[in-house]
Amino acid sequence: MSDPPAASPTLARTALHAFHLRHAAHLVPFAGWEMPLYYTSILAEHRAVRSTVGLFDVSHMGILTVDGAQASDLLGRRTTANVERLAPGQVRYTFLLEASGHIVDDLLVSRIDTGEELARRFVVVPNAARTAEVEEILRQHRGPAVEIARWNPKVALLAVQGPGSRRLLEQRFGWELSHLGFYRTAFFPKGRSTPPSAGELGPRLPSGLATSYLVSRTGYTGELGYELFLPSEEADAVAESLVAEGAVPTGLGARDTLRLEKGYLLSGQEFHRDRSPLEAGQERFVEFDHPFVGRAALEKERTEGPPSRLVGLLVEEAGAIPRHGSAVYSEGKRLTEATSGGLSPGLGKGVALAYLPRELARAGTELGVELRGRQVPARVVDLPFVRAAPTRG
Amino acid sequence: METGKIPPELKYTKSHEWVKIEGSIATVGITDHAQSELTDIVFVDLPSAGKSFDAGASVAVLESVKTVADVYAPASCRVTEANPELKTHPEYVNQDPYGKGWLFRCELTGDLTAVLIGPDDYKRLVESPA
Repeated sequence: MSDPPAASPTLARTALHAFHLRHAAHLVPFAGWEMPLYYTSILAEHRAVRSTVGLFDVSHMGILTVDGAQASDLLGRRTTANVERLAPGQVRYTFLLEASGHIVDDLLVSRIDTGEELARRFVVVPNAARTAEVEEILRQHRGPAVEIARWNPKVALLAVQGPGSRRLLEQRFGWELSHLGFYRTAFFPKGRSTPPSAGELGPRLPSGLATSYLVSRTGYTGELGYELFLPSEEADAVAESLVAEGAVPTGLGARDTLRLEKGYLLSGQEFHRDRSPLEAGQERFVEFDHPFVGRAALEKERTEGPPSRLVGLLVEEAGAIPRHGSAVYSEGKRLTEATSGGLSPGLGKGVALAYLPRELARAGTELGVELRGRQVPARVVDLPFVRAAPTRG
Repeated sequence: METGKIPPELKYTKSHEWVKIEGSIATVGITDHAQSELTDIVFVDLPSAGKSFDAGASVAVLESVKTVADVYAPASCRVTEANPELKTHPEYVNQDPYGKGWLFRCELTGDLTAVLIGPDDYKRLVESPA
């Protein structure tokens, strides 16, 4: 079999490009990268993540480090997280806002220093399409004691997600992962040790990756899962060894159906410098106890109530699948468009996300979604569409 | 661009249908390339037998995980049969687009020659950048 030609010479390729070709990936352009949409089938890959283990290449995501004595001050001022309060090894899902309160991007901020020195070290992961912008904003606001660097493509990022992910990683690397809590991160040695390593802080990114991998218990699937930062030159061999242990290569198609079922936001769809975290139903990730860009706007919105709220829509009719951009109606009046839509493989039904006026944003509200020129009944439901699996520890 | 399988004995359309002609009856499906672009097909809306369509009209609708696509009549025709298996097994269109995944048969009432292309031309069409 010959390699298919690149979709476009201008697309960037991750360290796993050869892996994708070897596993017959259907490659598509995504945020300037050539990425796998699926390998064998979106549905099969979705089910693998829900029932066993899936392996994602997410090396297109931005990998930034923000280091220095004022690093937590900078990140705190520019995100909705009170970063000063993050404990060593803690990871936070947060938002970088405009002064208007609108979301520029959602980020994972991980603190990887031990706290023994004054200087703080963070790993910041923005969305692929927003990384340059996020890096630029952080640079503009940084003080003299902050160093910012981007590590793509030197560092690769793999997501290992699904109920079997912990056992698979422990078997493959000889680690002890049960002490790594939800939204915690640590370095784990590449070589096996006795007793098995339970992770440590202290190494830096990327120099620490010479002897360990940075492992975070995070993901975008709603399942037990981990994300591994590793040197790009080792990514292919590690990915193949995980597949040999039973991980199923999984593409962006399943990544989208998995996150949609959980009601997770997708950059560029649920927000695009036009929505606040309160409208998006993310107030639990906004810490009002510290100053940050956008705080005044959010406080006003919190007092007055956001003009609209993101809700889940469920379509019962078989074969009726709402899509990104599908028009949403209430009593015959066009309200808005769905920001995301698709089939929920878990429910076997069409689902969508949409911003509704506050008075309609209640579970049980009956609406219509325009599909192929016809209004199909849809109902507002609580998110997530699919509840957490009992295997999630 | 991946071309997928393109059986030499079939005719093709620029809208990625394949057509097999036996006398005045045409069997229509979508190509391997088309199914791989659509991703997993989860619902197939097929016409009932006896329904007539003008050339270029939408005859069937395929809903996939990623998108929705129309299947067009290659010529004016009257549907004689739709694949009864696809209601419960839409995945046949992905797994076997030229076999178990056929969509419908129709009796041709108009001229086909203007719209159909051969396998070599179809391969060039798929390989050329969109």
